[in-house]
Amino acid sequence: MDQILLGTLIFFLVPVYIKKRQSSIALSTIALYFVEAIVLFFVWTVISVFFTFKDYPFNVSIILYYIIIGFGYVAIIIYAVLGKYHKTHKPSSFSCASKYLSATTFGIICYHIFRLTYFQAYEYRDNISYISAINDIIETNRFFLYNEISGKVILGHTNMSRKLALSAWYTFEAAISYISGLHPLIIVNTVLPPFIILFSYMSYWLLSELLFEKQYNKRLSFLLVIALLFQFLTEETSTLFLIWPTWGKNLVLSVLIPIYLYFYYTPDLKEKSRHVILVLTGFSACFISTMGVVLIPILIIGCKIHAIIEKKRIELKDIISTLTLLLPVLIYAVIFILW
Amino acid sequence: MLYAVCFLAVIFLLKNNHSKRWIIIIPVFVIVIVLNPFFAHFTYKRIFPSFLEYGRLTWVMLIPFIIALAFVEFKDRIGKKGKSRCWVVLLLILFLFSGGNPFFKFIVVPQNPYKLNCSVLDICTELDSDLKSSFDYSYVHTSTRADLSENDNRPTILVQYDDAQSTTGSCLYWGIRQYTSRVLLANTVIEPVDYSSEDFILSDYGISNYQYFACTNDKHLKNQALSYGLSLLAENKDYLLFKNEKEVTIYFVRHGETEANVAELLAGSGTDAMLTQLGQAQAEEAGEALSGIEFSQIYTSELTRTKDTAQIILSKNQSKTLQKQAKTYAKLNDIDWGDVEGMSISDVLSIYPDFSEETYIGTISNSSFVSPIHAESKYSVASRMRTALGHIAMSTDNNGDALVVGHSCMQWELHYMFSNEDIPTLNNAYITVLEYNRGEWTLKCVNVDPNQFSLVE
Repeated sequence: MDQILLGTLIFFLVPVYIKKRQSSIALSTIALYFVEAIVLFFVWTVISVFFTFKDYPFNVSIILYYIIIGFGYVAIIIYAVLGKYHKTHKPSSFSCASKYLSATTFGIICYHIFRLTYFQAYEYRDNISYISAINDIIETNRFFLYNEISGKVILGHTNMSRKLALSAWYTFEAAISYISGLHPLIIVNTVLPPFIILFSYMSYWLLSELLFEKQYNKRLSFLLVIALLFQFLTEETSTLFLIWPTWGKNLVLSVLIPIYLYFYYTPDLKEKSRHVILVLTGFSACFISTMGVVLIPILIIGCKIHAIIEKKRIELKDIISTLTLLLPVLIYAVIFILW
Repeated sequence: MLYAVCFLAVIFLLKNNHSKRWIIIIPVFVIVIVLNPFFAHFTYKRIFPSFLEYGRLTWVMLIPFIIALAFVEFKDRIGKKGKSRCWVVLLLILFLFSGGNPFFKFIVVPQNPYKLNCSVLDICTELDSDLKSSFDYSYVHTSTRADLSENDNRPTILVQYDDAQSTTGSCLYWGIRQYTSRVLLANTVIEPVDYSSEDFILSDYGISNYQYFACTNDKHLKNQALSYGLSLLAENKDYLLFKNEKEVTIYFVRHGETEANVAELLAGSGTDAMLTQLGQAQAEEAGEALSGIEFSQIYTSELTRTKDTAQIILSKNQSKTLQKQAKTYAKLNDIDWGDVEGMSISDVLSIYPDFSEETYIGTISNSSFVSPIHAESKYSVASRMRTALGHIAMSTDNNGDALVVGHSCMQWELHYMFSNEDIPTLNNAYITVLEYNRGEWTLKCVNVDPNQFSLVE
């Protein structure tokens, strides 16, 4: 448990420290959190899929993950400490946002998080089999040893459900459970929901930055309406699904799609950095849920239509960038077919 | 319709604002078009039917985004007075729609951070604790998958399904499944109307094949499980958890030779043939071989030949078994040969030249076989024998011995239980010994001549 607390502290404090030391980084602190989460998940995806394919022990994958991200964090902190100190003063106009609107929005969001985390419905069929799979991984120290529904032994990686074997999200939850020492039921039912709901709102907050720029009242109104609609509409439109973190498609829709749009359109990123982050986000979307494999190409096509509308022609660099952004989908498709 | 109106309003409002940020909703627009259920129905539905779920989910989960965007832009243009009205209208709409919010349907106050019912969690923790103390899990970490699949010797648990217990009727089963993977689960439906009835027999549900049994806390279930010698591991107001630690030895003896055997008739449950003199002598030999064993239970079928054989065996018994009475058990009855019951084999072959077991009574694994001669199928007989053996194991005292006098059709069930063993046709009054140990059966010896039995023992 203390490892998870330490990890959470590092997760939230490192971007704050880097942003303070290197104010020239155009991305906001919230955007840096998403970059950090996406990179962490990408590293885990590579390890998880490889270890699943090779049937290596689960605890060895955790150790390897520790080593890689440990080195990564150390390198980033050294860069921040030893790198040239940049401080640029960016006046924040958030102070002119309505206090009542800020308080209401914040209150509604907190209420949403509390309500859906505390009062989670007990049973949902898909959740049951996924939690079984996560529990099996931890107890057996093997990736997908047992069929999550029948409980029978899965003979080899070719007999695994490809959708499950290539979804690093379940193994990621197993990793969190293993590191924290908490039972997967607690992780999935109690610990993860508030983080995921919070990240969902953070992604919409970033998206509102593109829509309304520095009009904070409008951004807060937007977020407030989102929060009200999330909570009080019917089953189909509410984020009830967010309380079941084993639903990968939920994460893709509520967190990754908005953040993908943000990273695509934000003026705060250079083209190369943008491409790298979008490719990594695409990887995350594909390897969290097969819904990402479907949505990412549609999203990219939609985004590219804008370029065509603006320039009224198709350029070679657009085609190259499209193919680059489609790389995660292509890699996923190749692994899926060859698995 | 509301979605489409808002969407178009957003495009109009943002575009007229001469702001390029309207471009950002183009990809959303593309998603909406491509994944729109109406569009999907006329295009890719037939090719990718499962794709529609993605379409539905994505499409509707973008609704809040679109509505929020439209709301903010619209509110910005209608002046100060209109702004408060906008909020009122929005809240009214939400109030109207909120009745359909599923959150209000199955909101449950959590009893623990596992979000499991406390009674279920109690059973899970007791089970997990017992498994850890009595089961070596290290083989899972060292064996290859192929080794594990051949010999998946995880203990097994039978969990009672009762639809009355929860919204899905499965919270005990799925609670255990989510909590621990150490045990292999199976479930069986035992409804309250079943376990409340006077002729409810718990062993008919296959409980003898499992090391653990979890069920509703009901006195009928509890009394029967305890009468079977199952240990009560955990009990709370809702559920019970039992452990099967029974060890029983079953001595199965086929009845002695009958007149039907001599006449080579197909004598099944419809033919109550009597023992011949040789059959009686065979039964006496079997009785001599088993004379030193104190049987705590004696079972026969309902047919005279098995009852007579048992009586002769018991007459030779030197232990306190003499004071016990044999119980007749219908599930031990011989096969019903239907239209050919009681006919000689030659007569049968003259009517059905292609007569064979596989063609006329099916195979052990074919549960849907319908016999053309209205006979009982082999699958049905073997299942019956399996239930019978389970019941006998459960009703015999722990570490006790049971005598079962039955028919040659027991051979089919032995084939099923011990597929790697060579099971011969069971001869009249020959002895087969089965050992039952905590849900698992082993074949100590099969079809042994009573005169050789002491050597085998």
